[in-house]
Amino acid sequence: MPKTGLISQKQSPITRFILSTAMNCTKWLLVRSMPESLNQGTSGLSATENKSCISKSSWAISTVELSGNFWIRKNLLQRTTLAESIAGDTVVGHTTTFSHVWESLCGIQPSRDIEFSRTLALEMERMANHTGDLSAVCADIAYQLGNSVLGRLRTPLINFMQEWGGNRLSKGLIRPGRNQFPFTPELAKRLMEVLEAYEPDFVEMNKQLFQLPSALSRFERTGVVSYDDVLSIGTVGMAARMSGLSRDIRSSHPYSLYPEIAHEPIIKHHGDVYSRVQIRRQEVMQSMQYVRDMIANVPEYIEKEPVVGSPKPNSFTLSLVEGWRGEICHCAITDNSGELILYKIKDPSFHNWLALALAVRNNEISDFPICNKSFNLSYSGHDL
Amino acid sequence: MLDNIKIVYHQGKQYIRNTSTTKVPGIFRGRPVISTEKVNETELVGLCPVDAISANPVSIDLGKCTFCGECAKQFPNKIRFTTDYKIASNERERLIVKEGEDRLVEVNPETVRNEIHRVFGNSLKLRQVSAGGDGSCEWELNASNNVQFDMGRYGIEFVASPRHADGIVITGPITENMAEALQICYDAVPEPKIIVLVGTDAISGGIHAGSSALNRSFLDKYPVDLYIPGNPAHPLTIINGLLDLTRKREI
Ligand code: SF4
Repeated sequence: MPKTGLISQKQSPITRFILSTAMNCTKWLLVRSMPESLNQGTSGLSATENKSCISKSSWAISTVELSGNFWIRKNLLQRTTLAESIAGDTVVGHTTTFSHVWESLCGIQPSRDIEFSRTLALEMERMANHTGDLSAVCADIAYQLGNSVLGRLRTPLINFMQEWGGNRLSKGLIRPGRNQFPFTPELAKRLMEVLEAYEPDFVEMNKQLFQLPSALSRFERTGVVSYDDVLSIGTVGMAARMSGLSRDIRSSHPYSLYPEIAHEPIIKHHGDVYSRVQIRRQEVMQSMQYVRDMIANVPEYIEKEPVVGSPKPNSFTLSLVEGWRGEICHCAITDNSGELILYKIKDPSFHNWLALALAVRNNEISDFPICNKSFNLSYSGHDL
Repeated sequence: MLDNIKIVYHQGKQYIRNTSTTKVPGIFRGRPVISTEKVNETELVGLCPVDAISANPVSIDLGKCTFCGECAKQFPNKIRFTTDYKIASNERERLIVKEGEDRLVEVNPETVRNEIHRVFGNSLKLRQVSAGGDGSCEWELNASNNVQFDMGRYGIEFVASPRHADGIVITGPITENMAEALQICYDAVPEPKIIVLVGTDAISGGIHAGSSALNRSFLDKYPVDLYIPGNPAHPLTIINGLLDLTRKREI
């Protein structure tokens, strides 16, 4: 929970949401004692008095359908598996958020090795997805070389995740309260090799791509969303940073190992496809540096019993993680027996879809694909 | 131009020469092997998040399993996941792995429809429908066509319209909201056509099985030609499954 502070437009919608929630916590407690009304989505947000951030109707949808699933699936592994399938390309992001919610509800403090794995996996996920998306953008401007080279460069990153946790998209890797696949010094050595091979090819390919007039002419001034627009529609993550709006949970509300990393968000100002691909290129390099720094100092893993607690009754908790698309937010409320009465999930795409709609205005139809790919929002997450 | 050639040269050889014998790196969870050791079966069955494990004899249904690996972690002497990625079959029952059996999961050539070898043996164009999928199997289908896995070399490709397709590939648990779109897409594919289910979600609903948001009635209407399990299915599972279905000869 953040300290006190004024709620302003400059803060991301979720930050405003938390702040206003914190300020209205007495009201939240009142709402919590009336679970039926939350169920029907009737009073969930009147408690926050901040109707601009999440509309009443979306709250209602999420309460009924998604939390529905979280209620039916009562055991922790089932719930974690559900969290894994919120967005298949953001598995680490969503499972980390879910784990933080769960640990906070149960009052567990995850050990350093657990948070290390999460931070590392989050940065690997960011690199893999940005690389894949740069490849897809190349495909959409019919630049075959960039498409093939960047497309194949994603493979060693996700294959490494398989070497580590047995699944290319990191399913099964992150679990609440325990270190399912401890990161060993051998894995660190292996990852070093992977990055050694990855970096020169990534740098070389991008150098070529970013000096190619035919590519730049498709990127520049295509799909522009202005600072004022992103501010008013409340985009998050890369879709905010592309237009000069600094929103990055890693620096604004650091979690896991980010307080030590002291992350500096990468900000661009034109809000066009070019800004978005530049952010991706630079974030890959930045994440690679973080990963290298982290694996130079792998925390020792001591085999211990997984900590399993049970959620405290009558609690409200909220967790924020900067996934590769932007901030992911999960929030949960328990009843007086400690069972969930509400579980709300917000994928970054929820806010960012509108930015895509604004970006494609006044563009040729042939520019739709690069606008779309430069955002690459989750089709399975936006209506959460 | 020279720079481009240099880049191509620096990539070296990326393609996997033999997609049916290559080894996957690390601790991939593929086909499980179940030993005959005696364990507390109630506990074993109970820990699975998707009811994929049955008792007496102990078996795992790969069509339901999310490959979370929990059973192997808790009962390492009972269940072991091998790196065998060839786990696709045209028969639903073959996806059930029983204790004491170290048998491959394969396509049964006897029950493959005749026209499949004849018509699709050398070229197969598929239309993909993501029916409420989470994007992971879709990513892996995409990866099957990248320069490493290069499924295109076998004449298998994805197309942008069902009119150009020989069949549909379904991912995701088939939600109510996608049920009609799936039907329309299937209807638009000319005969003869095949149906392929990719991923645990598509085969059984996975973790979403039983949810009121699903409508899986499409699958009651038509026979499924190939089941490709995985969460998500590995590109090599996908490629080998499709090849085993459409070709008689070894590649
Ligand atoms: S690996 Fe499969 S069978 Fe084992 S517990 Fe997980 S879902 Fe169940």
